[in-house]
Amino acid sequence: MNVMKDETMGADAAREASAQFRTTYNNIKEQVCRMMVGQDDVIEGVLTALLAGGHVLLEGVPGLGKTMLVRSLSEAIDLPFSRIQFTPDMMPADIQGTSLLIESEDGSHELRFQEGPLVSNLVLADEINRATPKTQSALLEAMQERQITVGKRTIKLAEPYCVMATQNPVEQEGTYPLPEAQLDRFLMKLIVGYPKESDYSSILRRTTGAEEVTVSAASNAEEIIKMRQVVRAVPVPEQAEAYAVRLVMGTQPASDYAPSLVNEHIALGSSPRGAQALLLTAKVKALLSDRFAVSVDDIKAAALPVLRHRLVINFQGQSEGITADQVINDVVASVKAPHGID
Amino acid sequence: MNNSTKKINRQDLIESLDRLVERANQYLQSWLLKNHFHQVCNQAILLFFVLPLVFLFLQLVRIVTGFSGLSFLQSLGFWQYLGLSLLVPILFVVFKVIWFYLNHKINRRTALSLFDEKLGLKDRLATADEFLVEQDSVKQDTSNKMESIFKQAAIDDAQAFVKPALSAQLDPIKAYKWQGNLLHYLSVPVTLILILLALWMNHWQSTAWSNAETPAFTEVEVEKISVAENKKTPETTKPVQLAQLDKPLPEDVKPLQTKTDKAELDQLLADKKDSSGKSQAGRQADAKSSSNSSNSSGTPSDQSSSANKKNKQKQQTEQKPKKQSQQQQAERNPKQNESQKASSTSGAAQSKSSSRSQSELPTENREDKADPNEEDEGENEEVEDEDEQQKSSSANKPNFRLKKPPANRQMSMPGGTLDLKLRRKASRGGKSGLKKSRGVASMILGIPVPDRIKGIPNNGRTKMVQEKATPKQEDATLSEAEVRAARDNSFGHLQHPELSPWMQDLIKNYFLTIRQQSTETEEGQL
Repeated sequence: MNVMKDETMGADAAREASAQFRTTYNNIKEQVCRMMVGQDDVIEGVLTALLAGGHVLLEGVPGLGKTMLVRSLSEAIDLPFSRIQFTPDMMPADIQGTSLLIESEDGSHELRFQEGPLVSNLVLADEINRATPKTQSALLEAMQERQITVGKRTIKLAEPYCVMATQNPVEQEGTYPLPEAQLDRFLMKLIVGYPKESDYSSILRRTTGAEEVTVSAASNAEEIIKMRQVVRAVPVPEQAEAYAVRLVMGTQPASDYAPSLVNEHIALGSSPRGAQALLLTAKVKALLSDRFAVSVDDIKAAALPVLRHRLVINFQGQSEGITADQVINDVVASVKAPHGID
Repeated sequence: MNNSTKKINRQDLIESLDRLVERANQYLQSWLLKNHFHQVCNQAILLFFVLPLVFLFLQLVRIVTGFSGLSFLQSLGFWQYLGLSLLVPILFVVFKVIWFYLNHKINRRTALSLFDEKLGLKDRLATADEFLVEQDSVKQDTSNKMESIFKQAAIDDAQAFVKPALSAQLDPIKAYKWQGNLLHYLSVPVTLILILLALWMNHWQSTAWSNAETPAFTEVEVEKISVAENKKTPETTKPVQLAQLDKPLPEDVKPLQTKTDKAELDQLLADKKDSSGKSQAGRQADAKSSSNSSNSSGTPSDQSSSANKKNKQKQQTEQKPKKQSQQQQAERNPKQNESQKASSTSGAAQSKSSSRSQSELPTENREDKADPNEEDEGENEEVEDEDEQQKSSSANKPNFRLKKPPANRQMSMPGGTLDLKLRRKASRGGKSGLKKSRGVASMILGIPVPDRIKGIPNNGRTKMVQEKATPKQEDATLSEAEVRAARDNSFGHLQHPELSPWMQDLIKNYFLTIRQQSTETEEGQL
C-alpha cells in the first residue's frame, strides 16, 4: 500500500515538476523574445542547451543579434555574464586569469590571482574562431570539467555554467577553425539565419525607437539547477536509447547503420558524446511536449543541431558541396527505430 | 479507496495493453505472412525449371545409356511435365511460409508501436508497457527516486490513451506490390522450352528406335551403287558422292579399307580431274606453281606455307594418275615391290630428311612419298620438287644446297689486321654492313636511325674578345657662367633628403643666430 501511495505521490510530483519546468521555460523565453525577434528556434535551442547542461555554438553572419541574445538571456535568468571578444593576440591568461603583483598598504608586495572573464556563469565567447588554438584550448577544461587551472591553482566554476560561443562563417581569413575536440564539447550548434520579412518591422521599431526595451529576470541560478535535475530524471525507454545509438553509429563511416552518403563523404563521425547530447536534448524536448519519457521523435528532432558539428566531411564531400545537415537528414531517413514498423 | 482504484487501473492498463498486443500481433502476423508469401512466390518462380531440367538430363542419360529404369519418362505427357514442374515451387513456398510462421514472433514493443504510430502517441504505450514490466520484475531502485516517479508518471500518462487505442481501427492490409524481375519472368518460357525439349527428345528417340528395327540399305551399298553409276556419268553425280564420302560412317558399316575400294576411289578422282580438262588444267597448275614459288619468296611465312600447301595439292593431283597405275602394278606383283623398297628406302629417306617442308606434311602423304614406287621415277623429278619447295619457302629458310659457309657468329670486334672488305665478309653483317646479332644484342635496334636533336639552332655561346685600343685625346670645353633669370614656374614637389644630426643642428643654430641678431637690432632701434 505504501509503495502504491509513494507511486501516486511520485507521479504527481513528476507532473508538478514537469509543469513547473515548462512554465519557467516559457517565462524565460518570453523575456528573451522581448529583445530578440524572429529567432524562436535559436532561442529555444539556446535555452535547451542551458537546461540540458551543455554549451552552445552559434554560427551566423554579423548583425543577427547573437551577442544580444546571450546578453538578454543572462538578464532573463539573472546570472553573471561576461563577454570575451576573441582576437588572434589573445593569450590563455587573458581569459582564465593571472597572478598580479600588488602593493599592499604596508608597502609590501604580494602576488594576487586576478580571475579572468571565464570565471562567470554565462560566458559569451564572441568570434571564438579568431583566437589561436592555444587560447581556444584554454576553454576545454572550463567547458568539460567546469573548472580552470592556472599554475597550481584550480578554480571550480559556479553552476549553472554555460559557454555560448559565436563564430562568423563568412570571414574565414585570419581565423583558426575550432578543432574537433573543442567542437565536441558543445552540446549543439545553432545556425542563426536571417529574420523573416514580417519580423523586420518590429526589429526596427524596437531598436530605433525612443522606447527602450528592458529584460526582467524570470528565473535565477537555483531554479536553473533544479530544472537541470528534472531534465536528468526523465527516463529513456530502451527503444529510444537504441535509436540514439543507431543514429550516432549511422554517422560513422563503415558502421552497420551508415548509409552510402556517410561512407562516401564523411571522414569522421560522431563520438559517444554525441549520443549523450542526443538523449539530454531529447529529454528537454520530451518535458516541453508534456511527456514523461523520451520518444524516438524527440531524438529525431534533436539530431540536426546536436550532430551537425560532430561530423567531418572529407575532401570528396567538400568538393561535391555536401553539407553536414544533408548527411544527418540522410542518416535519420535511413536508420530505422528498433521496433521496425515502416 | 484511491489506492485501490489506482491498483485496478493499473491492472486494467496491463490487461488493455495485453489486448492491444494480441490485436496487433494478429494484424502484423497476417501482414508479415502475406508479405513473406508474396516474396517467396517471387523467388519460387525461379524454381520452375528445376524439375524439367532434371527430366531433360534423365532423358539424355536414358538415350545414351539405354537404362531401362528411366523408361517411365516415355509415358509422361506435356501436362504431366507441367504439373511436376509446379511441384517444386509449391513445396518451396509451403515450406518457407511454415518456417517463417514458426520462427517469426512479434514482440510486445513492436505490437504496441503499431498503435503508437497509428494514433501519434509518441511511443507512450510502448514506453508504459516497458516501465510496467520493469516495475514488476525489478525492485524499486531507491537511489534514483526522481527517475522512478517519472516512470510512474509515464505509465499514468499512457492510461488516457489506451481507450482510444482499443477502439482504433487498423488500416486494411495493402495488397503486395508485385516486384517482378526479368529473370523471374524468363524462367516461365525457359521451363516451357525445357519441357518441350524433353518431349521432343522422347519422341525422336522412340522414332529412331522404331526405324532401327526395320531393315534398310547401308550407306556403303548405296555408295557402291552410286560409284557404279558414276563410272557411267561421272560429271553429274560426283559432288554428291564426295559429300557422302565425307560423312562419318556408322559402326556397323565398314570403312573403305581394301585396296580395291581405294583404287576405285582414286580412279573416280582421276576421272574427275580428267573431266575438268586435262589440256588446260595441267598447264595452269604448272604455271601457277611456278608463279607461286617466285612470288612466295617475298611473302611472309604464313602465306608461303599456304602457297606450299596449294602447290603440294596440285602436284599430288598431277601425280595421282601415275600413282594409280603404279599401284595397280604393285598389286599385281607385290613381291617385286618389296624388293625395290628394301633397296631404295634408305637413300630416299636421307634426301627427304634434309627438307623440313616435307616433314611437315601429313603422315599419309609422307607414307606416299616414302613409297618406293615413287622413287622409281628417278632423282631428277625429286630434285625438281625439292627445288620448287625450297623456292617457295626461301623467305624463311636458308638454302643449304648452296653449301655456303655459315655466317660468323663471333660477337667480338674483328682484329685490326684484316682488311675492311675481308672483315665485312667475315662478319655477320654481309654486304649491307648492318650488324646482325643474336641474344641480348638482338634487342638493339638494327635499323640505322639518324639522330635528331630537337631545338632551334643558334649562334652558341657569346664569345667575348678583348681588344686593345689606344686612348684618344679630347679637348675640354669650359662653360662660362652667366646671369640667369628667376624661374617662371615652380619646381613642383621636391623630396627633402634627411640631413644628418650635425647638419640639422648647424642649420638650426644658423637660423637662431639670424633671428637673434634681428631681434637685437630691433631692440637697439627702439
